[in-house]
Amino acid sequence: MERKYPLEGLRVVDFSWVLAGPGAARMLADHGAEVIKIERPSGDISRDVIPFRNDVRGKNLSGYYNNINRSKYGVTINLADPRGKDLALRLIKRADVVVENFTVGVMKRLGLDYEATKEVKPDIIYVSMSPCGQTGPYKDYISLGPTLQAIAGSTYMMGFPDHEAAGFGWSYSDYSGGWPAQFAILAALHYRRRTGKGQYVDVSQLEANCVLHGAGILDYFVNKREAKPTGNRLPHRGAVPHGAYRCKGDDRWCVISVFDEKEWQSFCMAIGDPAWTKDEKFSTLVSRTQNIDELDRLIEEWTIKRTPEKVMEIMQRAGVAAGVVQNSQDLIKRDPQMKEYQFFKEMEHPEVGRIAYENVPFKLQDTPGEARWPAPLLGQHNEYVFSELLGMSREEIQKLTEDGVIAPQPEVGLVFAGYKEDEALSEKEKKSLMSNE
Amino acid sequence: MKAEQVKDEAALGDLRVLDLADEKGVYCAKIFAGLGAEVIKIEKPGGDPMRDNGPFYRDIPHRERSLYWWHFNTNKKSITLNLETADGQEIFKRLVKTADILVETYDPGYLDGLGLGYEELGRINPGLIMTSITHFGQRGPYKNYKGSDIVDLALGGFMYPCGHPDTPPVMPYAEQGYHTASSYGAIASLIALYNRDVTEKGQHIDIPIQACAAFSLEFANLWHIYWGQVLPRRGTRHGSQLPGSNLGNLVKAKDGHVCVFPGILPLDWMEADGMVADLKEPEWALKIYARTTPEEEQHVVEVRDNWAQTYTKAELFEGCQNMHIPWASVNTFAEMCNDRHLWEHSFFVEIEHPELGETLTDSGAPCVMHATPWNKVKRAPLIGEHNLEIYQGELGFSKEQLVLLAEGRII
Repeated sequence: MERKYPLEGLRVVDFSWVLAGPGAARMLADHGAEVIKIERPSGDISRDVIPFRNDVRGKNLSGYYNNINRSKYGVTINLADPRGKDLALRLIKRADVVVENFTVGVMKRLGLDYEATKEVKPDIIYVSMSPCGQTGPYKDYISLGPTLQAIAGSTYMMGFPDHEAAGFGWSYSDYSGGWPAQFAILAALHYRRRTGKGQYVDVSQLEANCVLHGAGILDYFVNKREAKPTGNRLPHRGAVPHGAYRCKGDDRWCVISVFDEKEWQSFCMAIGDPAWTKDEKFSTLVSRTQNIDELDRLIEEWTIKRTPEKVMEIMQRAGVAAGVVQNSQDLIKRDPQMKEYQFFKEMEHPEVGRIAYENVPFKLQDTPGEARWPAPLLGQHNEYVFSELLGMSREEIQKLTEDGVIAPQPEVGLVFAGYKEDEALSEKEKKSLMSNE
Repeated sequence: MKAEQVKDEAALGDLRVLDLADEKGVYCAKIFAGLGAEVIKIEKPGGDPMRDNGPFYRDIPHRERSLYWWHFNTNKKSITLNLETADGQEIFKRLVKTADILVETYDPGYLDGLGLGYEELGRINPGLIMTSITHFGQRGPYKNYKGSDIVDLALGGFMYPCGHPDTPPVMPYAEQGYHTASSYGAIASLIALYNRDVTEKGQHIDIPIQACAAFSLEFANLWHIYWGQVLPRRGTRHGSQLPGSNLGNLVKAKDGHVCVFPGILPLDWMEADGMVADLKEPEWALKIYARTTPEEEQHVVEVRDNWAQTYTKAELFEGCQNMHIPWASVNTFAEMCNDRHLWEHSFFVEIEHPELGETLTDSGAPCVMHATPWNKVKRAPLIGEHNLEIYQGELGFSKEQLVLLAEGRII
């Protein structure tokens, strides 16, 4: 019998919230795993995060939540209630993997830590994700993307020398922080198939990001050389020129990168073999490196007269790696590779309407994954999960709903009120920003 | 793989990976090696071109002294093999028969041209998972375009929102396009492995670096999908527009900057220092977390910065975090390398280099797995270090045959 998706049969119970955890779970869901997202009755706080179509806010309307949590089943459970905790354990008993990213200690207090879940499911694979791991001086530190990137050194390293650090304009570290969770879960599943053993996995986003510094750490300890920001120049590779050049148009840029003599010759030919390229200031790699600022200026005198698309076209035809610095409009409306691979997939969300999702970026050729259905409405799959999966009776479900154990609470205030001029966060809401307790 | 070779506590200890990747995918196979798989790096006779990437040990360029090579090829074996010869292709196919995963980064069509494309390799070994990482993918109008990490990131929409309004768009440190695609390469391969564990069938995987970059942008694409707007470059200001983020994320300290996100202020601490001005008044509490006018913003920033500059980054980092306020030190590279939390976690590991008579320090595991700990880090291989083990020991070539193969520039 042909399987449509590669992870069919895998069941994940996901307690995580915002991006790092849910992003990791999303990859599994897109590839066919049954991912049951457990939210508190008022929902994952990311249900309050922009963008909202036409700025109309609502618990089921967040574009952020929608993109990250598609392909999943959503239930609401009040974990602080002992009956809620029991429900969670009953789900875990039927699951292969647990993912959580609460502050260290919360799951233990709720009676849902690895030790407790091992009692009901001895071979469970349990993944805790946190900014800095379960142990150590920073274990209780609060961090979201930009602060994590700062601690990891990534922010400092991203920018132009003698200019304030730029860093990423978003939480890249939540993506990179989720990659170890993904490959550790899959590797642990393979190991379990062989040995029957589950395990506990401790993912520190800080370490997950610090492994991505290439040879810089070795260079520091071995050569006592501290890496410094270099803008768009690529050190240690003899790559000159290598940078972003202003083109014709409003804030339009093209990157050009030359890695060897052959590419340099092609580059010179592509820009019409101007006399300056034969000048001893630029004709060799050594001299180009010495005069790199002037080189970049001369190149920009050429690019500024042309659109970035034209620059890219001319360079590519000559065999030089160059690319338009595309913004999301370019990517969504014009990019032919995004179209070829159907990277932006439209689906019909019951309340948002027809809207695009970022599809899985790679393709397993025989059993590809994809964005399968829109993100769950608050408590959308309570019926399916409690009635069908757990086999609970109508009466039991009704009682739990009446008692607030599983009733969704869409009317509980949006946490991030900062959008409106006359609203502000209370102390309680500020604390709530940082935890999901 | 032979049963007795399987390592008990290695998650992927029963797997063999063949690594043909260049810079685009060399990190992918490093992940498999860390998870305990046997990873065989296949180099051109004479050594892989990546060995010419700096920086170098003590700045002495040498093919056995590249720090780039040493970092990305820990725990791997090395054999030399010329795939452009008939002998080489035959040997490669014999190895493919024994392999579970093949990672490669050649231009689309190159391996097909050598008779080593997925169609042929999958026929030889139906369980093979072939993971192909390229700049733009195996098909489409850009499939033959020349790429590089910066080009892939630029076309992937990754660079545009990074930088300041008065600077060009800026790329991240250490080729994050290649790191991103390599990480997804490992994830995708293991997804295919799960499927194979059920069906016994492998498959081909197409991983475009540009798409992997476009997938990792959080707000950028969503701003356009939902609002028709383009996320602009604004330094470390975050695309979420969380309350207080209009105040900017970087705050000057005595010795550098701290990052504050979202813009929560340690008002009690500032008050204790007598420097909170009027910010604890009710109407200011409202304004700090809502939309401020430029004048109001300036006032808050002035008070905040005046206070912050009386402390070092480390003091602000520790002090605020102890109050559950999310401020963090903008660490320089050296500060990250000396970070006490990373050291206490044994994140930095000692790697023995017997040839140098030294141990060198580098980053270690990306996470902690309790039943199958990350592989103890072993130095990257020398050129063809495992030729004898694989060619003679396993494939049964005689000494004389190996000499002939070397003379023929096949190994």
